[in-house]
Amino acid sequence: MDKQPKNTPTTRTPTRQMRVRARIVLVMVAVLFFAANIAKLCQLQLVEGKDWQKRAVSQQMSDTVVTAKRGPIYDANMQPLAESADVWKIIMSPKNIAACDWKRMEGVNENQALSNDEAVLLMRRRIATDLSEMFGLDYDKLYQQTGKIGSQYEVIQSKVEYKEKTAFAEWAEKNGLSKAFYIITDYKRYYPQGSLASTILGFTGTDNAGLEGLEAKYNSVLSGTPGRIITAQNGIGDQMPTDMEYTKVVDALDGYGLVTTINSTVQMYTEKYLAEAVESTGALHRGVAIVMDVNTGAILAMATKGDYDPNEPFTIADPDTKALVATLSGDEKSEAIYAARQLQWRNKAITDSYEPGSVFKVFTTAMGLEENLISENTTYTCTNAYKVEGWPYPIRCHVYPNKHGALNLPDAISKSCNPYFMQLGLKIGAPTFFKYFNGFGFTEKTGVDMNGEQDYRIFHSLETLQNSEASLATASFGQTFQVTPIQMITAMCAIANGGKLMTPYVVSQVLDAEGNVISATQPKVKRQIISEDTSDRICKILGDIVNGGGSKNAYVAGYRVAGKTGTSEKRATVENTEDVIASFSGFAPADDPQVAVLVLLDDPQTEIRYGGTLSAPVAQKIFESIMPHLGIEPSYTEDELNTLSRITPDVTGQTTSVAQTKVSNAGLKATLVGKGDKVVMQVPAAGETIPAGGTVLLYTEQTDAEAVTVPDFTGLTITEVNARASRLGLNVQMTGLVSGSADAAISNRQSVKEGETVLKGTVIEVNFYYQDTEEN
Amino acid sequence: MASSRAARPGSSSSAQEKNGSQLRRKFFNLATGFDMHFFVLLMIVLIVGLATLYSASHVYAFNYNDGDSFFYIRKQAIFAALGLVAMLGVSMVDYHVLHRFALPLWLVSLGLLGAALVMPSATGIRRWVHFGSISFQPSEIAKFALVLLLAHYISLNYKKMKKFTTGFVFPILAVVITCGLVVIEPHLSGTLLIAILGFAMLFIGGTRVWYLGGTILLGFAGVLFMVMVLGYEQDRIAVWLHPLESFANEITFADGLSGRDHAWQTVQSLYAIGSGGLLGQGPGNSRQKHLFLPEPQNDFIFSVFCEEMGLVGAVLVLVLFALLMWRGFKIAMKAPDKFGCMLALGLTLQIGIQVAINVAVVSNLLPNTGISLPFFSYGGTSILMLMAQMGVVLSVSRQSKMEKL
Repeated sequence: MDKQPKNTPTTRTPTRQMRVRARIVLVMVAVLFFAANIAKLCQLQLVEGKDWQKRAVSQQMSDTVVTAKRGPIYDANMQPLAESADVWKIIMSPKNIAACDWKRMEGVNENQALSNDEAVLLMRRRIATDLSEMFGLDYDKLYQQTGKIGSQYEVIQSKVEYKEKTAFAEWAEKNGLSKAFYIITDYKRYYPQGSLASTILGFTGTDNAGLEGLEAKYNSVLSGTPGRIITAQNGIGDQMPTDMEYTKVVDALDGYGLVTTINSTVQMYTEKYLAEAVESTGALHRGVAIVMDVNTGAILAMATKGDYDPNEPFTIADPDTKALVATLSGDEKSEAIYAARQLQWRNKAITDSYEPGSVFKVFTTAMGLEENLISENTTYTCTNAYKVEGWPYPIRCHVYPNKHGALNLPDAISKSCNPYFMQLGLKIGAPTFFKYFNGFGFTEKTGVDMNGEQDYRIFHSLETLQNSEASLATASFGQTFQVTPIQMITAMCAIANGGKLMTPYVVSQVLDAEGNVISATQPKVKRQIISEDTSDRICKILGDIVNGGGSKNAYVAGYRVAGKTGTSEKRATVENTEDVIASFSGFAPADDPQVAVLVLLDDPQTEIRYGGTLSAPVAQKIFESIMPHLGIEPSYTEDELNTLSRITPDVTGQTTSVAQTKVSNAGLKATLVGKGDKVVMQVPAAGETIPAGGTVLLYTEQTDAEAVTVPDFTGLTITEVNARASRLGLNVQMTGLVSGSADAAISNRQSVKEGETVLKGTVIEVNFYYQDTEEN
Repeated sequence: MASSRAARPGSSSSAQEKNGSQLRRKFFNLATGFDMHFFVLLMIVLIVGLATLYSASHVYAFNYNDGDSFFYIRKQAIFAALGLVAMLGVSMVDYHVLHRFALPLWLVSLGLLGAALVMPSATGIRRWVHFGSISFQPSEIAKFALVLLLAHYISLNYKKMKKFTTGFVFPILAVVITCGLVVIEPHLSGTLLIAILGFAMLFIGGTRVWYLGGTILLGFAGVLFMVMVLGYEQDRIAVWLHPLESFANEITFADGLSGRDHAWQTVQSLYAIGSGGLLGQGPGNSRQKHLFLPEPQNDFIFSVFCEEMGLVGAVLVLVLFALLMWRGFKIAMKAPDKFGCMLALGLTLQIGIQVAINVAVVSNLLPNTGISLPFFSYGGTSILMLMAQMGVVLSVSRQSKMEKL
């Protein structure tokens, strides 16, 4: 057996080398592959296991945000100013398209054989086609979105209304594509009163966050807390099987509602008259009007014109600007659009500052009276200008080259004499002047709870007043420094309410979704700045100048309006400009002040640009309209009762003689028409207001009452109006200040339009005003 | 140890005679003639594999096969049963008859690989051959054909294996030709598997180490050159090195897919494996198989297994495969001749290496290339052929000089 034949079993068996090498290979496979794999698995499952699991869970859970309903904003009478309505958001989950049944799509050949990929392509095209048509979207962009297979959240359309939503859901169901979409409840902000109070309310952006106004200031209060729905889902967004189901719902907490101090009716009148004035005067830099409760600081109305519609805040509201923007292109256009939007959103009442001008004389007066430096009888002389130290030439009075001569305090205010107040200011002295300047709040924010109150203003410091007599002198009549409208009306309220500087506010209550009061604003007195006595004395002076003095265009019969007008230069900010601001700031009734009104027209383009001519009539209209609405009863003076109006007695059905006696007892004239014994009809009807001495037509037979055409009553003196009216047999009820030198007043509006047909005897209101007041 | 005993002339001769008298009987005795250890281990692997396939595939099947949760498991079970029959059948045939088929089968496999390359394909990947309703991957046949060819060649030329031409050039040419046809399909992991298998067999067969080492170094250099300099497979490499960064990238590349799309499979697999932790979510409780993991019944079946059974389960399965390999190795070592030895070694190694590469891919130890997990992944013809090949190992075991039950 030493020599083995070639084919013996021994030689056929595996060689020693084979066995050794096979072992080497076995060990290599075991070590290199198996050991390495087990090490890697240990790393993944033990070391990093928690981390991978967390990532896996996050994709296995669908986390849907439930939008919280934004709280409403109400006016003082719980009229909604802003509310949220249900709309829907349509979300596509491209990842789930593969799970849809393409065979259910309408108009598709069910029998064709499609691979998964081909079916998905077909469905993607269908989705892009139909949705681009349904929502007016771009096909290419949509198609691209459908291809994001990793995504489960592609917003197709926001703010979808009920009808569209229903149509969409039907479409998805009918085409078997429901699995690829979900519809989420969302809310849309509506402002039911349109542009009313827009600069107060502000607006929200597409994500429902407040961008301006109260919406921004109170965003966290209004927006509530969004909820979540967390559910287990499979790889294509479907529900997991029952044993793996998991759902957790965190309810959304709806936002709180705001009750504001805004009175919609007051706001409406304020905006109406301000808009008319801005339009008619062509005020280049818009106008402001504020109505405030003098005793609490509550803002009843605040308007800036032009403003915008918060339902469409990005639309340029001003037609001229819109037309101008349309002519531009490129960067110029976008810049112009940006600027126009910023402007229309800007709440001028609290954001912009201006030189108060003569209105400020009220405060200089308050300083003098409070410090007992002057009394109503203190006299200074106006020689048409006044020379102060440190200024090259005498500072002129507005009547220059005329002069006022010697004046007492009420006359000086009524005639708005600059030299009088320069001399008074110098007498008060810089430290005291500055003490009150501070005290009335002109160097600080009022703290009104609105967005955008201006921080930076041009105002005097004690140094500037002490170092320059000219500064102190000009400051005394309201020039060379600036205040905001909200500062001015707040300070004016302190004059009216017995000397208390209030913190103005616009939100009175915060309500939860059930209407429970979460918090309520209490009126806050910042400080007592003047005594009640001083306050009363100024109220009387200001009341007198409206009722017969320099601010008489603000006169409203029955309500003793008090106030001061101002026509201020804008030279503190613009060099050598001739532009002015015409303003009025006042309150009513003078003997028991309740409501303050500020009207400001920035850069009017009319020939006469006095505050008394332009702004006081706006305030007058506002007072006239809102006082009865606010439940403040008129109290007529005897004079007013005698000269201005009578209530027509009810004489219909009575004998002619009795009727005639009743009418004449009421202080009116009776004219009989016809030959009967009894009155069958009277014009004006019973209960109408008619000027004393007006005519009541008593018809004694059934005849057609005589009709006349109303003429143009504007631009006339009182005498001319009366003559024209009596010729036609119409009665005229005069409004505005018509006592005193009657023919100085000119009629500027009438209650029934020219050309309309009315019955003879009808009462037509005609308003009179003074074109050229004695002040600046 | 085995070799020293086999070298003893007297005892081996008498054993051979005894065996020879039992041989015929044993071939026709189903259960007792072959290595019962290998058979039992294989059955355990097969049953665990089928159970795993059902768990991993039923959700996917339900969603994409008209609500038929059993779509994959039914087909797989049928083919596994056929495979079992085939395996037992093959085990009863004397493996020496395969000598005759070695070269023809290899040539046929080349032909089929060529056929796959000209088959119409929507994706540009040509790995399949379709005969009527039957389709299979020729690379599955090529693997076996190459093992058979090399076993045949080495057993005939074992004395000349140290020579350059006989021992290296000719056989390496066979490996390279097979690999070349597979790599242009393209089927990278298949190529890798076949290459490793070929080199391992030549190494064991006696080819000089530095010929093989030199070739491997050259191959490495070539691959490095293609990747680093020519920029091949950059997407795949990026996903391999930074799977989560790629996953977070939604920008679409030139191929119309984003980094997210490229990394999807790998990252979902890592999510699944990581979620398993030490003990797993429990049988049937994988969440990732709920349509997160693409085709969980296929190459990534082991991810689902890891998620459900945890590290403990995963290691147990790997140990099971290791035991199977060890037993196959034992059969080879005790084989009566070099042909049987090489054949059993090649087929055992094929399973082991494929398992190792598959697990390395699903755990992102290696870049993601398509490779299935033997006895687990879905594939009718694939499991049928695998079982038949195991029949060859059992056939060798019938003649191996080892204890039988």
